[in-house]
Amino acid sequence: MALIELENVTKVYRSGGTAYTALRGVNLAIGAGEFAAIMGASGSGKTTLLNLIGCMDVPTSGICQFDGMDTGRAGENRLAQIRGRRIAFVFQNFALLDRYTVRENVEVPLLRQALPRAQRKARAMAALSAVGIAELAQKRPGELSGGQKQRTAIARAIACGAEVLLADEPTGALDSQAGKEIMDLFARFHARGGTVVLITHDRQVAACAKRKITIQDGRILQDEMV
Amino acid sequence: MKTQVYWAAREVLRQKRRVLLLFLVSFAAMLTILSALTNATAAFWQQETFAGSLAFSMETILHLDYGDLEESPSLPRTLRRYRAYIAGLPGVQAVGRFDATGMYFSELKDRADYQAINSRVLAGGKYENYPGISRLLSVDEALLPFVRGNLMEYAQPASGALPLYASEVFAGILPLGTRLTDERTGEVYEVAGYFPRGCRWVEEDDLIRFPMVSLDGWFIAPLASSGDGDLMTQLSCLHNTYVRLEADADPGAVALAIQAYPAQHGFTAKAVLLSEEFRDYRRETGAFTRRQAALAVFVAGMAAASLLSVSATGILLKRREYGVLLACGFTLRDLAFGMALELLLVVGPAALAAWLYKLLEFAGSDDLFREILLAAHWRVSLPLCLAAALLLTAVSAAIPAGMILRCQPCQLTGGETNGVD
Repeated sequence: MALIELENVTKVYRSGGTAYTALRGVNLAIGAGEFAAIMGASGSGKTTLLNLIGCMDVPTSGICQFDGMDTGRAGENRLAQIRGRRIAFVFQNFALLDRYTVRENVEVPLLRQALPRAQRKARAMAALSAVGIAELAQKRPGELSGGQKQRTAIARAIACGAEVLLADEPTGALDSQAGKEIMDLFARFHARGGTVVLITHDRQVAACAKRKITIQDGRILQDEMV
Repeated sequence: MKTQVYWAAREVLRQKRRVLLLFLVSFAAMLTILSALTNATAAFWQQETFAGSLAFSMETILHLDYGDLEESPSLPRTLRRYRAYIAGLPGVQAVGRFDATGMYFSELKDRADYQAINSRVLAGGKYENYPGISRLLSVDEALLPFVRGNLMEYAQPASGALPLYASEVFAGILPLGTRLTDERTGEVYEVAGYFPRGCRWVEEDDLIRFPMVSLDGWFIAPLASSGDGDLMTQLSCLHNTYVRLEADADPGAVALAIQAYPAQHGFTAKAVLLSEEFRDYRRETGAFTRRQAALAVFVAGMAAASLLSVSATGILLKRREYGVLLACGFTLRDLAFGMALELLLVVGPAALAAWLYKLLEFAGSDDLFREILLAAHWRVSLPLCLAAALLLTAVSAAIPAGMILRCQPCQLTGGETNGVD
């Protein structure tokens, strides 16, 4: 059974009197330990697909399952638990809390796991060491480069022990060298058995993935193993 | 719950300028709300205290209300005769007066041990700088049981001096039998007993409208007969004359009889049941209380509107932050609850600080109503203040929290997520 499974999923956004269909009858299965890249033009439905996979949204129709659980029927607490413990997100805009230090940012999902302070700190520092920025633990995001910010976001994913990493244009705001380093970190995460699903416009980034899914107008156009 | 409290506390500590602004708005609002509430409840408290202090039913007490009186040398005699006339009316049990004054006993005013004790009891009051003064409550025997206290009747010293009862605080320095002389009138008193701490009476001319004060450090004695011919003494007691009725007396008939005498003797006076005066007072304070309560509600509404706009703006500014928290495993309910908690962590202390500020203000004032204000502030304003803080928080957080709860987590993550991609 696939870890992530979408069955005839449609997502419609309504605003005022108008409706916009972002996904149209999508069927997709991603197994544990896969490394998949989702590609497509702007407005094709990539982010909507990632939000559904990551339990950040629910489908309008169809079934979206995470590890056998129908996310459309699950309660908010259950979805939040999955987001906090099993799935981690990396965004193009880094999604860090500016008022908190790097270490505190990494600790955020651990707070929800109600870990003791000392354990939170130790896990955060270990994750920061794993991505090579332990010395920046007391800095604030505003003092970091784009690459360092994205490493912080990845450290957050490592610290919470997530098994799935969802990344939305993770290298979009980085220079090529920093982008390469981030992709190396993704590869290491995948090599340790983690599942990686990322959205990208960049063919070089997509080339790091073992599976390439192309989406157009809310439908999966192509799904190929590389 | 622990996580939300921890996160809310961290957020409060990390947003010092915003928190300071919210604190100041809440503090200023709560200060006004508390002033209005305390004023309103103090009036109510004053009524309750008065009603609870009387040993007799207000339906059996008439208050003499004199009209314009010509301050002629014959006035003391006229008034004495008038009281004698009233005392003889059917249905009247007794007529009495009281008068509270500051005076000097020749033997006490310069005594160091007396001044030392007196300075302590006078501290913070209007006689603070007069440690040699003595506060004397002159009360006709008929009125002694009127207000709940310890004295029911006067002893008669064998020496012929007027009996003087001292507050228990002076028991150590004024033994029974000590003779004291009124420096102004030459009247001689003899200490005949002590009354315990905690006794109370009114210091001013209006029994209903003015608060009862502690009699710790006072003396109580009957009005001297020499004062019956003294115009100043008579005028001083003029508004403090009360008539106690028999339980089966017809107050209306007695009042009519009391009013008939002045008409025949060239002055005006009427007798009003204490219960009627009390009803009038309640009516007056009722209007005041309603105005104060309306003011409190209005200011609370303004404060809620201010807090609401600040917290709603906060939601917009922290939208992306909320998205991060959701992505990290927080629920929408966590966020809504945390937001309300954040507000409460600011509004609650602001309310308590405002309450404390008013408490110190009342405690440090020499206002006649100080004790009433303090009692109302402690017993009524404190719980109301906490309730107001909770209500303000709930009202201010309800709309922003509702906005959050209506969102899907993905709508808050922001960035390049446009919701239709």
